[in-house]
Parts: sequence; structure tokens; C-alpha cells
Amino acid sequence: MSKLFLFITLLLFSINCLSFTLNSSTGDHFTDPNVTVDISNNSCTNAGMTSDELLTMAMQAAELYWNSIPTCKLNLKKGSIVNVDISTQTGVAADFNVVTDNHILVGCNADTTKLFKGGSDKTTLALGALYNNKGIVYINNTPNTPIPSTSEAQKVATVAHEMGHAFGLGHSQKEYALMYYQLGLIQERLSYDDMDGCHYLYNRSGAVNCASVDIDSKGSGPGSRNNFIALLIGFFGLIISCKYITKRIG
Amino acid sequence: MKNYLFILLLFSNISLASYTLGGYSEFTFNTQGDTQGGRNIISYVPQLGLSTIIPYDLPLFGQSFLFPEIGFIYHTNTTSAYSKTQFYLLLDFGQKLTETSVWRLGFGTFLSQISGDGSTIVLNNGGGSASFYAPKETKTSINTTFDLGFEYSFDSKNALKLMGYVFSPFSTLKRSFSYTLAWVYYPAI
Repeated sequence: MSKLFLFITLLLFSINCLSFTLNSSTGDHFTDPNVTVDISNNSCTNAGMTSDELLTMAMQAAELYWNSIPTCKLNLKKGSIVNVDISTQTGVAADFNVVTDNHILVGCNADTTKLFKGGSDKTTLALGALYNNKGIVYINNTPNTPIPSTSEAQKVATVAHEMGHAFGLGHSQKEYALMYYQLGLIQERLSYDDMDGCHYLYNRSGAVNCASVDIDSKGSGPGSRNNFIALLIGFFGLIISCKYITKRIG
Repeated sequence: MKNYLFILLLFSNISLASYTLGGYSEFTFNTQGDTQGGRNIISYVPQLGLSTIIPYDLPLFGQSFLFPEIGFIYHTNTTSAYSKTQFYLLLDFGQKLTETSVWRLGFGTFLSQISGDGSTIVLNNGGGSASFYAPKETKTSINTTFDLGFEYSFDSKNALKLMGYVFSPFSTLKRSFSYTLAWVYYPAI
């Protein structure tokens, strides 16, 4: 019987591909996991959306994807429509000067010199980046933008993908990951890869705050080990107490 | 290594120790598992646990059990850029349903750890390619869970255990469900 169980158990094991990446070698991310998402009020005519619609989409992207991970404390919050024009920005560091600290600014961009390849780019839907604790998401608003030909769900997934870049994630090798370089036909949820990436950048303390501890350790440093040992001691203390109480009752 | 020896020494002092070998399926229904939008319902990664049973009598509940368990989950992977491991501690209360089955209910703590080698990975990016980076530090998240389980004994030494874990139970957005299906072996009985 034991051998049969062992065989069946081993048969069930699966191998996953763990392949999320980061935008920067230093693992840049927002210092405060409560990140506000603002929308630029410049024109989005070619992409076929208004600033209000973009704000709704950004919040759908936050709630459906990034705010739903138990092991990640990132919280993308609804901001406002701001009077900032990013339509002609070209993707240089100075572009981030218009973004508030610990905010992500989402807006349409029609730059045909650098960002969207001379206006002939018919495949890039959007771009996202993080710099100096500020994030930007550019929606392709050039005349050849492929945005209007995508479904509403794909637009939300696109904004969510770029927000992933804007808070520090790179691409994934997994085809069904939100952070895969190409938009899939159906991307209703995050993959393990996306969740692990968010967990790595914004590891969280737990659901029941009074019973958990925040840990952020480097390498094999003492942070996690000390807390784990403390938990172990508490755990076995509880077992021994229970045994003692049981004997007393008995 | 010292930690593991410490754990084994403690368990050797506890009667009715048992070993659990099973598969852990993380965030079932909440994650996408293929390009067609299919969800991860069966995605077992190896889980190894040590547990014991502490029987006691409660005035209202009668014969009951405490099921403390400590375990390890190793997320097997096909790349070497990073690895993911989980430790868990469970403390469940349970009672017999029939002569061969028990239910259990309790709390758990999961420590999920991700670490990597920080290597550079070139991936597609738009129409071209770009360099991205694997994680290079070790990051740990701690989650408290509500547990609910059922164990069925086939004979005096072998049982099958199904355990469900609710992560972030108080958050409508983050609430997620994981489960394990495991073989439990009782060597001392």
C-alpha cells in the first residue's frame, strides 16, 4: 500500500517554469508599495479613448491583476486626471520630471522618432518604465496604432502589462504570463510568474497583520532566519503547552 | 542544517509522529495556466511534512485532536535563474468523522521565499530584444491562512489527506485558495 501511494504521489508532481525578470539589475521598485495611478489629460484620439476611459481601464487593470496577489503588498490606488502633456515625450530621463513621486502616470503618446519607431510601428501597443521612484506608461497614439483593433479586455491587459514595467518588472519567458512580450488572445488572470515577480519586489507580511511580520532580507542574511526561528519556537511552545494541558485534563 | 536537526529532535519526542508527502497546488482558480485562459487547477509541486497528533477531550466536543504540522514545499523549475521554496506551519483542531476519517480546521503560516542568481537574460521586447535581470536577493513573504482538511485512513499506517488553505481571507481582492493532496504515513502505529 505504501509503495502504491508513493508511486501515485510522485506521478502527480509537475514542473513549472519560473522565469519572471526585473527591469533593472538592482531590482528597482517603488519605495512605498501604495502607488497612485494618474492619467494624463492629453489627446488619445488615434487610440480611440478618453482620459476617463483610460482611468477606468487602469483601475480595472490594478484590481483584476496586480492588487489581487496574496504574497504581494503592492497597492495600486486610483489617482486623478492630471493636466500634464506627455504626448510628445521621447523616453528620456527628463520625461519623469512631470510625474509625482511614488506615482505612475498613464497617458497617450504619439512620438514617431524614438518610442514608436517612426510611426510605422504597427505592433507595439504601449510602453512602460520606472525611474527614480516614478513610473510612466505610454499608450501608442500614433496614426498606425494597433490599439483600436484590440478588445476591451486586451486593452486592460495591455495597461496592466505596462504598469508591471512601471513598477519594476521585466518580461517573462512564459507565453501565458501577463508579462510575456506579446499580448495573448486571452489574458484573464496572472500567471505564477507574474505573481512571483510582484512578490519579489513587494513581499508582504500577511493577511492577519497582528500575527505576521514583515521580512525583507538580502541574500542569506539574518532577517528571515531570525523570524522563522521565532515562529518555530512559538509553534513548538504551543505543542508542548497542549501536551501539558492534555495531561492535566486527562 | 542546525534548524532541521532541531526540528527532527523535537519531533522525535512527540508520539504519533507522521510523515506527509504530497503535492501542493498554489492559488488554484486565481492563476492562468495556458494561453487559452485555462486556470491552474492541478499544478502539484512537491510537499514534504512532519506532523503529529495530540489527542485530548473537550467538555463540549468530546474526543478531539490537535494536528501540528511543519513542512516544506519546493517549487521545481526548468530554469536556474531563480528558485522558490515555501515553509509552512499548521496548527489544526480536528475530530473523527468515522472510524477511518477525520476533519480538521485551523490556522497556518506560510513563508514563501524567492531567490536568484541575478543573471542577465535577453528576451524579446517589442520588435527587438532587450536585457532583463533575474532576481539576486532573497525575499520572503509571510501569509497567515485558514485551513480546512479531511483525512481518510486506508489502514493503520497509510492515509490520504486533502487540505485547503485560504490566503488573505479578509480581503475580497487578494483572497486566494491553495490545496494539498498528500499521502500520510504513520510509522509508529
